Amino acid sequence: MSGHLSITGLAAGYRGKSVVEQFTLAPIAPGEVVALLGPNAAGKTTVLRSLAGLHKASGSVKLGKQELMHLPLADHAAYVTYMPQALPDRVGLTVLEAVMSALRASIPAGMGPDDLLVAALDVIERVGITHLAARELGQLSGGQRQLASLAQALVRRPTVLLLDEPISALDLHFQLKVMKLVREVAAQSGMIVIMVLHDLTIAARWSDRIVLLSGGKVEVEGSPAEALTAERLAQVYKVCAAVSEGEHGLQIAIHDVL
Amino acid sequence: MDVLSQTNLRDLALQDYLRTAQRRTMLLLALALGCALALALDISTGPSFLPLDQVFDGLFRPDRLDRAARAIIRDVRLPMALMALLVGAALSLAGAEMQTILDNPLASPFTLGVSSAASFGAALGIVLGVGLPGLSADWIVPVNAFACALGSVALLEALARSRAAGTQGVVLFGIALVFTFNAAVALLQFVASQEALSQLVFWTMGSLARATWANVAILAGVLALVLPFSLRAANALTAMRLGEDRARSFGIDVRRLRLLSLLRISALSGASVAFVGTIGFIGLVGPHIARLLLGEDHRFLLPASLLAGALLMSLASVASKLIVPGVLLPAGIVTAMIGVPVFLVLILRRPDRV
Repeated sequence: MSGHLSITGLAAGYRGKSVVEQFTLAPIAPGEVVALLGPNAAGKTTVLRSLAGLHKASGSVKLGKQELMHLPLADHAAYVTYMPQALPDRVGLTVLEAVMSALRASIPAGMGPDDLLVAALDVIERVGITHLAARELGQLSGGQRQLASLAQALVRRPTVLLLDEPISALDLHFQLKVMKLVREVAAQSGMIVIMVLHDLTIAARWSDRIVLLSGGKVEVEGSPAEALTAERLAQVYKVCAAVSEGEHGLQIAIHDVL
Repeated sequence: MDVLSQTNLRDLALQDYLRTAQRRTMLLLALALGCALALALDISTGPSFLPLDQVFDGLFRPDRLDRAARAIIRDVRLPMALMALLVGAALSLAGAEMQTILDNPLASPFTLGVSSAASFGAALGIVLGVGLPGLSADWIVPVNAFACALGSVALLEALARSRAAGTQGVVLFGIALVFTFNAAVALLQFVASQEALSQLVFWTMGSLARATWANVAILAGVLALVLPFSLRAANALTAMRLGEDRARSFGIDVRRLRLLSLLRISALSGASVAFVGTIGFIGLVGPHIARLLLGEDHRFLLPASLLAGALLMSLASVASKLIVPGVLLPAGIVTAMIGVPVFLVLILRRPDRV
């Protein structure tokens, strides 16, 4: 099933305290990559977890005509996959097993044991960690585990992929590689990607749309050039920045804190 | 990287995967074989040593033996030896599930108060004669122990289900349960008569000497009932090892998984403790040995834990008869003596898996 993802009036909180209010976005088209930005405690992870059905929330999240809110977890998981920020550590599973376990947890219809293995190997190859396939997660570096974690999310071929800081532990090379891969997969399969990022330049370069979140509310939503202005960054991040159009997207230089 | 080396890498990964699967199957078979050998050894050892060929005859061709040897094997040693295997299997399987659903390598029926609760139930029966009305004296102690084990797991479960406490909170609460029930047992010991006291102390040490065919049949029934459900949850449990959010995002109803798993744990540990008393360490060490040998794909880890626990307990039973010739030491004491060094060796060899 495909269609636009419409998020309307999403609200969520912890223990009676509101964290996210009136989170509404313009419908997200299939294949679109959205970056969710904002300072610490702006509610970015809460938005992602609410969209993933992991956090109790009110409002409406529609994929095409299908309302996703309050859908049983197993049905929800058929559309949406969430990659948490926390990385599995000290787990006695190889990368290949971990990726396969993402499929085994709820095996997609019509997939046999060999299909699982092939699908897992394909994704691992695509993420570029075939040489790590037989290594256990506990023996990997943080960055390598993050790549394994991404492979786990991708292997489920979700309609909506939610990534919570997918490149936080990666070196420059892999940061760009992962962003390229995410864009590629989105373009090819029509997957909708919403990712929480911290690096503004990377967000500007690799996403179609920026959503700037502050204090649990959408501060601004639009193309990178529309959303990431010097005034806006001063307002939301309390920093002094210079923003200019460059050959490879937006150039953002942060000079000082305000 | 060029196409050729990519293909090579992929082939290597595939070969490695298939080799690992094969190695695991072999390890499971080896563990099962070890259990069979340990069972034979357990039957042959005792006050009178029976050679293995007699043990074999006793099991499969009883008419070849004289009546005395037949009686020793059939009525005394076989139920005890089978009880050792079953208790080890049940406690270790319970420990494996517990460590996964509570996400803590220290979780086991013994460390989180389930065994202590069972001891408290037993103590109530032994010291105060408190028990369900209508039960014969033989059954008051095991039924009390089982009921209290179930109660303690229900408490742990309620806490795990509430949003207030994370898994760490559950573990801390379990440790609090250990101290609370131990204090309650100490209080009962303090007021107990001399005879009740010695009975209680013997019970809390854990002994296989109480094994009867009826007990063996009940525990075997519980294990046979629980195991298929356990194995059916294997993939969900594997996903749980990667974190609760991730597991839920894969479509797993974690609360339901945790609830059903705790029910299985209480049935397994409650039934074990009810028949043999407190056996420490097996539920903790069995799963770790399995994990170090085979990794954490629960389709292999669960049966391997079960077999490792059974093997360990059976060896402990043999040792309990050999350490002081002519004296049957309580098995609970021996499990710790055997378990600790084995555990230590494995930790030192594979620190990354603990």
